[in-house]
Amino acid sequence: MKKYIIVILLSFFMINADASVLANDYQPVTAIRASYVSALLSPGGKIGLEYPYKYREIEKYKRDKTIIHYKERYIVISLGSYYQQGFHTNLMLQAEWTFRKQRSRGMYFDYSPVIGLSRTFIDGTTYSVDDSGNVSVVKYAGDYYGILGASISLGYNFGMRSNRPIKMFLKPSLLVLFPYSNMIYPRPTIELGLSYSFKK
Amino acid sequence: MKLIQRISLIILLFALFSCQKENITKSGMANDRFFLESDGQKMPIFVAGNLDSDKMILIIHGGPGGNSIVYRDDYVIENVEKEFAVVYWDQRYAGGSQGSSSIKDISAYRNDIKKLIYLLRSLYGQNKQIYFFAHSWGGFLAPYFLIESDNQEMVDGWIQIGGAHNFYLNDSLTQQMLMFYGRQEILADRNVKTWEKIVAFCDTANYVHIKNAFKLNEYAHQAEGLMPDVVSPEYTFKELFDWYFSNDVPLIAMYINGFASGIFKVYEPAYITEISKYLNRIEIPTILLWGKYDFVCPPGLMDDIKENIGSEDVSEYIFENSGHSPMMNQPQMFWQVVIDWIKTH
Repeated sequence: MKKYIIVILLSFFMINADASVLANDYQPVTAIRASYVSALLSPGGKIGLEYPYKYREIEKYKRDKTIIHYKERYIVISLGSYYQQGFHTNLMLQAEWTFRKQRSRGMYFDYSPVIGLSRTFIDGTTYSVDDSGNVSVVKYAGDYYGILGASISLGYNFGMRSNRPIKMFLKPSLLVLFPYSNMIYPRPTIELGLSYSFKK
Repeated sequence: MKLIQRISLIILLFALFSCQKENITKSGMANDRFFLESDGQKMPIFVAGNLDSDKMILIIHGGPGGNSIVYRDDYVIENVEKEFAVVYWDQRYAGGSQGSSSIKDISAYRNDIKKLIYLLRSLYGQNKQIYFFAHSWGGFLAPYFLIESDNQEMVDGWIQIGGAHNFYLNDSLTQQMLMFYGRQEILADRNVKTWEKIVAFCDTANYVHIKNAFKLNEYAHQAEGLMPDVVSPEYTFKELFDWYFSNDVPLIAMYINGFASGIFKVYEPAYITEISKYLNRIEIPTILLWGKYDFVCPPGLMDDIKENIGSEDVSEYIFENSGHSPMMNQPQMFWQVVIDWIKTH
């Protein structure tokens, strides 16, 4: 699985897109993203779509220089998964509301509240037994959980200074699955990923 | 869109392959992991050891909210699993159990045990002899299961280790024991400040009330560490690290389950569940193993079982340098007693 994810990530670097995103006429555009996810020591992957719905250019004057940055809002929809050996594989459909500060030199920072739905698949044959002692295998054993969480990310937008419509990001998150035995199940994750814009 | 489709396919295949059927060992040394689904909980089961012995030790762990894999140390792997198959089962809301179901009535535990025995016999053979290895809270669940209808016919022996079969008696014995040893240790000028605090609590607290149980339990654990004769288990960081990785321990689940069991007071119905007066129904071979300095579940509980049990085959053993967990305080001596007893039953 790791191998596939690495290949997918690297393939983004090899794409020479016709579309370009230039700093002088910058505006955020819809992008797809893919990332490697690590939930503590459990590996996983995630794909998604980030859709900008609002942005504003901010100019600041500092030491005789004009500094430009952009305040952006995105809706991000993603499908992710991680695998914890002996426990479960977790498929997670998430929606994020992202607040981003994009600097003109390329660096950006954002934070996002997250909601979603999770379906776990138990990592092992799961049996059920009826009152008479008849044993059967439970197919696709697992549970549905709601997801709430928050994440921050630090990234670099290559499109601000070149014609490559690619962003790279590192994104720690804290997700909680619920209800888990009447409680919540916290799941810290960290993502390393890329996003790619198909059009200007 | 093709790229998205391909990535989705990879994730889907990954998820599906992770729940493929595993093989169950039929003879020789088992090393099988699977789950039991019961009332919305998926409870992990790990069977390890010698199946050819036809004897299985079913660990009913402590807690509530503990875990079974904590009993699997190097000594058990090298000596006990060589002799018998050991069944490490994490109870509901404990260890690596998972599920979105809400906390159920205590009878769910009894149903789980019954289903687990059905499952073990279905997978490994009806001829397998099953021995309860019940520790602490597990020492409540085991007799709670055995006294119901003809459940004991499913079990070949009961090993009770520092078990809490009678919560009210347990608390009163803990209170008495803390006061007795506390005063003795204060006179001997050992850990005086700590003992004075414990004795003062026991002297004034209405110890039979459930609201004091947590504090009493906390002091009982603390007291064990204060006794000079108790051999404390020592683990290096490397040993803990190896244990964690070799057993696929889901740490977050363990802590969340332990926490949930505590705050939702899973143990509370145990205070109103009468077991002592029904112990006469239990007629299977039984061995009672206690640490002399078990403040958590004092040896007086062993006496209560001896007085009330219906079985005529009852053995007992006190470990002189142990507290609540003699399998960790004096592992060599403890497991030798267990192995010898199972071999002869």
